[in-house]
Amino acid sequence: MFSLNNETAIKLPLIGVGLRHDHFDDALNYPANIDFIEVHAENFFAKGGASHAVLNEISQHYKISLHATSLGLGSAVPAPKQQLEQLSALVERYQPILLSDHACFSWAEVTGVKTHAGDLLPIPFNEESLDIMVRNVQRAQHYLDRAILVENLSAYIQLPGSTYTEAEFLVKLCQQSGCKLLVDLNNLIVNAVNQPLLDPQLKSSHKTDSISMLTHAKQWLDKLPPELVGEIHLAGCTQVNAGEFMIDDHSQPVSDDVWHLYHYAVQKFGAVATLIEWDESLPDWHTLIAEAEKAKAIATTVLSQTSTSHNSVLMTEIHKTVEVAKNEC
Amino acid sequence: MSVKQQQSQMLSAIFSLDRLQKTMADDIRKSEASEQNKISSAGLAVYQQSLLANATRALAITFATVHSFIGEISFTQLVKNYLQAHFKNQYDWGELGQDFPAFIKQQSIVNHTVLAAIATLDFACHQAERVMDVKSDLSTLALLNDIDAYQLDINFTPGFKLLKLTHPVDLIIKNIESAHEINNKLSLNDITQQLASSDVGEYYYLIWRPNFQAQYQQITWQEYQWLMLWQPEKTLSCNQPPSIGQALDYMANKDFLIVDWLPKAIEQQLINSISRREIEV
Repeated sequence: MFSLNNETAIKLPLIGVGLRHDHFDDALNYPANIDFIEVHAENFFAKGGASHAVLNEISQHYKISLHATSLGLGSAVPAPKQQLEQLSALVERYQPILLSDHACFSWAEVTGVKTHAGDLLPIPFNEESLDIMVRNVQRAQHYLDRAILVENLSAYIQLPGSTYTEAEFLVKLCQQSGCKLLVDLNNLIVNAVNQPLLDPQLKSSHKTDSISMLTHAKQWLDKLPPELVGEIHLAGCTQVNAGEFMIDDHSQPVSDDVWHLYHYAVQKFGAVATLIEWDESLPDWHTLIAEAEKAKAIATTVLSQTSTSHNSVLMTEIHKTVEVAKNEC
Repeated sequence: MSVKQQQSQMLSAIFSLDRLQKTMADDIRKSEASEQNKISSAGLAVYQQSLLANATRALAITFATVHSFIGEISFTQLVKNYLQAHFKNQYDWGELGQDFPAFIKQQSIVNHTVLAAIATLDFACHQAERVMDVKSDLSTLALLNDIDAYQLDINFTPGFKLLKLTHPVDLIIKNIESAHEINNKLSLNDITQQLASSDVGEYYYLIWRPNFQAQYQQITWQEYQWLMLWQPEKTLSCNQPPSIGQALDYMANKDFLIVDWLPKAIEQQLINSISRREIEV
């Protein structure tokens, strides 16, 4: 295994990159110093063929994370048994260190036909949705025989009927189903940018400058108990003009805002597994790996500071105790 | 409205594609259209564009030959019409398109029948590349010398499939590819004309996957009859494919010689292994 996580005094997060078809050869020919590779589960739903041959080889060198995009865990019409069995077979075959899907719906009946959206569609954050999603997550975890991570969404439409904030909803989901969260920091920025387009009442009052976006995203993160966060996704996307939807296209390097937010997230959540996602306009392999190295550098800095600060508090306490003891003598 | 109804409504709106885009345009024209409706329409358009882009990308991989012969614009239009006519019931993009060839055949587009035949071949090859891998064991060919043919089974390579098509698609594809090599860049119009001039009849094809890439080949009617005996829907008995001996009995008087076929099948890696039939108790 190639690993970025060498012996250090502080505990560092596992850092990985999303592996896409264009990088298969490079990942094998130019082994990177990373902790894991994430692949989209559905790209390996075929029973055999070249894709499995490649993933088998990749799994000899890197730990694997499986990121599913099709279960539609918030769907009122649940995923078919066969879909869960296929994912379960993949889990059995590759023994991933992480397994995740999204807080979205994908299945619904359209004119009586059970239809799959092929996309991650938003859900309202209310009690009914929560019941559906808890049931679906528990069912998935039963089939997969392990807890899964559920990722927050970037949404381009707001379904009416929410009674919770997204963060409140996700925390309740974890508490009731036993899953943990995959926090996508770019999705928080994308949603903050798009919010005035989704809710016209906010249009005049909502500020879309970088500081306001980050404040909004940090407030979102503040609502999560650290023990519920199991993974962080970092990505970049195409920038847009005011009044246009920002699309989470994963086509750019991680943005400065997301790096800033990552700094904050590591302070708050500690050494949480972190992944660089890049799906469109793919860079060369070395550029992608450089993004992972940047994440590692930030995590190292933050966690070293935290460790130093923790140690200095500890030393101050010890000094105080010694002084008290001396005086008493 | 329940969450279930809400989700059905949203998915229905996304799959309506053109119809919703027309509604959006109407909304914008009407000054009385509410701000919320316009915004919902813009948000839905994001999901519609995503659906069309993802479906086009997936089907362009599965139907690579059709895609290359009609070009991106016509292919995208075809996919858009397909999505509106056939709701997507597969969760795996790689499985989408089973009825795409039949859909193409029904369309009033130039060369629809020959494109449907090419699409059928594309889909069969794509499926062949997804089936489970099986290790070959050619040492078992020695059993042919030692064991009675009624006690032996042939095990074919993964993805083994037969097709009966209305056009000689292998020749069509070969001719277009050759013309493309000579001209460096063949226009879509040139391809359209070549497709239009193709013969019509009954043509038999074998698809198989010796390694990871699917192969196809036109075969004779006799070979088709012989190999059909191992297609699941055509096996002689209810659940079991025929032994070699039974299959040869079936082919008696059909002008088929296994001594001609076998060396070729071995060379093409069509046969994975020969196995001894388990004796029924």
